[in-house]
Amino acid sequence: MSGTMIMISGEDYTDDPSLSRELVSFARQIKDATGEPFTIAVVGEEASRCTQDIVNYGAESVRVLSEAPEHQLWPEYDAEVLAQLCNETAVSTILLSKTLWGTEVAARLAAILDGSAAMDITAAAIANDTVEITRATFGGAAETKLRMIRMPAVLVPHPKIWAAAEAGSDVSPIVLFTSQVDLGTLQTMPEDRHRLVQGPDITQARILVSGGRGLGGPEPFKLLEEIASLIGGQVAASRPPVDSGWVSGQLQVGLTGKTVAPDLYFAVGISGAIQHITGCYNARNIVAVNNDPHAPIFQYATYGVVGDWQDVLPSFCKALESNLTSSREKIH
Amino acid sequence: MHIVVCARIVVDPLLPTTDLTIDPVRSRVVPSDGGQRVVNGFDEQALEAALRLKDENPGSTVTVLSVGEHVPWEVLRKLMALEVNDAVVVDGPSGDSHDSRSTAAILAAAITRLAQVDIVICGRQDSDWDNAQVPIRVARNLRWPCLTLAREAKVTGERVLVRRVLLDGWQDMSAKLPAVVTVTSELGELRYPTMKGRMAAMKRQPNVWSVSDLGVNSEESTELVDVHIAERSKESNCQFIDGDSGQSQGEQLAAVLMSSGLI
Ligand SMILES: Cc1cc2nc3c(=O)[nH]c(=O)nc-3n(C[C@H](O)[C@H](O)[C@H](O)COP(=O)(O)OP(=O)(O)OC[C@H]3O[C@@H](n4cnc5c(N)ncnc54)[C@H](O)[C@@H]3O)c2cc1C
Ligand SMILES: Nc1ncnc2c1ncn2[C@@H]1O[C@H](COP(=O)(O)O)[C@@H](O)[C@H]1O
Repeated sequence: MSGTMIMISGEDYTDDPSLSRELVSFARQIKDATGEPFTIAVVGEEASRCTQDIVNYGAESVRVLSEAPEHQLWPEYDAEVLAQLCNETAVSTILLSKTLWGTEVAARLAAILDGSAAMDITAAAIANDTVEITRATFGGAAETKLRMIRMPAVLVPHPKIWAAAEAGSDVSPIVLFTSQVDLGTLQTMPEDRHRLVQGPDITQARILVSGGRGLGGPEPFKLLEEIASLIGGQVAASRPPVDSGWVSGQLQVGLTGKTVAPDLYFAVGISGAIQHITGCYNARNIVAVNNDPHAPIFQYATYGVVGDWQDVLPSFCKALESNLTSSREKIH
Repeated sequence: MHIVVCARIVVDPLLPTTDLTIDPVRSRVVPSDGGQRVVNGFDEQALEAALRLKDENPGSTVTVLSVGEHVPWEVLRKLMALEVNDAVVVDGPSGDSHDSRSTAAILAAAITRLAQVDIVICGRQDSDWDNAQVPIRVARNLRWPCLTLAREAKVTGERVLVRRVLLDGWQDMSAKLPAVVTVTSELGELRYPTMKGRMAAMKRQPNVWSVSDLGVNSEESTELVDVHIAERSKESNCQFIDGDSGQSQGEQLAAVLMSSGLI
């Protein structure tokens, strides 16, 4: 067994720093078990900002790519560069976050280095000569224990299982590394990128008002928006509204979306498929509004309303509004 | 153009957890009632991407490729009701395992044997093991490029261009053929077959190869130690908000949530 390497994309870090800090907790667990140190490698857009932030977490060093290609989002390039770094430093475990970038680079690294990879890890037992992990499979319906045979083992934890690490006082040295990757050998070519306005990060919200296919179209999301703003929450969604283009992919909760754990999660017109539940079962309270009394969502809900959202939500919204006005009147 | 679609047979991902059990002999999740499995959802969408390419490039052929132990033909055959030219089933337990390294080695060997393949289209992940690794490993084994998470794919001349889904928009990415492409749900649903197509599919048969025929080293990268059903759906203790109308339910819900201090 030799060291662990955490890999972070600067852009992912900017979106949600806590995911990277969860990797630090995971790396500390490995260090406690094996005595092996961990390093952090940072690539991509906004790498320098992330680097400044991540130096206080006990890494042996923070490795930063000295120059980046013009195209900032290029998983093939990142994977080749990071594989080269792994070969130089002989790592046995590699940790990445569950983001689109993280899962793709994880799979690419496992392929390039001919190691093993596992996603959605919920527990790990790592000793000097074995890496055994537990992960969610079958959409979250099953739990699977795997022994990683080929090294390095590329591990992608399920979000919000490891707590986000706190910073310490020691400062890790920042060590630049240069790419030896010949761009001419890369087989994929990034072209235009289109970015929508960055929405709010649903993973940090205390209250989420989430809508599903049962809303029937993009228009009703305005009502969810209205409710969310009355109670200090944010809007989220299941996959069908994203697939149909009603809302942005940033709002998707679930297996291939984000993992959230708010105090209060409203599921409106969402059936409760396991791939959705996987992303929200750690919510403290789930309120389900669904006109099908047999919808699986009620198994996970704290409060349930069997009814059509079109009948239920307007009066719910009105009650919130009048409560808000009366509490304002009390203040004055 | 020869397009290969990789399609895996999986447990229906919409079955409630309570309808799943473990087959102790094969250490895998199966429907409790022994019911039929389905084509992985993203792989149906991979076929849709292939059919769109075929529409735009008349004269193309589409081959469906599935690796697994006892791949149920009555399930895979449903795809044959569309404009699919051939189906190849590679039979062997190692193709149906939890391990993406061994599965990818078999798929890559089968693609090599098919010959003259221009593009391989896969789903972004299989809903049994949720690995999201096989296509990238297939591409690596073949030394082909891999473009991921496509919501659209176009072929012009010798290149394939995909529009990749990002959370905050999209990115176009291209590669020279032959290439592997993975698709995501934003691509849209698989088209419906015609009645005539469905009738014709009843008579179709797959080409069956065996893993041992392919002479491939399908050593695994991970060992399955245990699999069990997750205890996620606790005893339901949902408090239902009743009322004689939706309006009164809405008002009561607000009252309950406010009095419990949740909002
Ligand atoms: C590998 C894989 C990954 C996936 N990843 C995700 C993911 O990340 N996130 C995700 O959400 N899904 C994901 N899915 C899809 C998932 O399996 C479900 O298909 C999806 O969650 C269903 O979304 P839904 O509940 O909005 O729609 P549906 O299942 O269609 O449910 C709609 C619900 O709305 C109710 N309804 C209809 N009209 C009304 C009304 N007027 N008032 C009140 N209720 C009404 C219906 O009773 C129904 O229960 C994934 C699937 C797979 C196979
Ligand atoms: N046994 C298989 N047979 C055919 N295609 C497969 C098989 N396993 C995986 N694939 C393809 O690889 C994609 C990703 O699978 P995975 O990496 O297992 O999540 C699937 O959507 C399929 O297109």
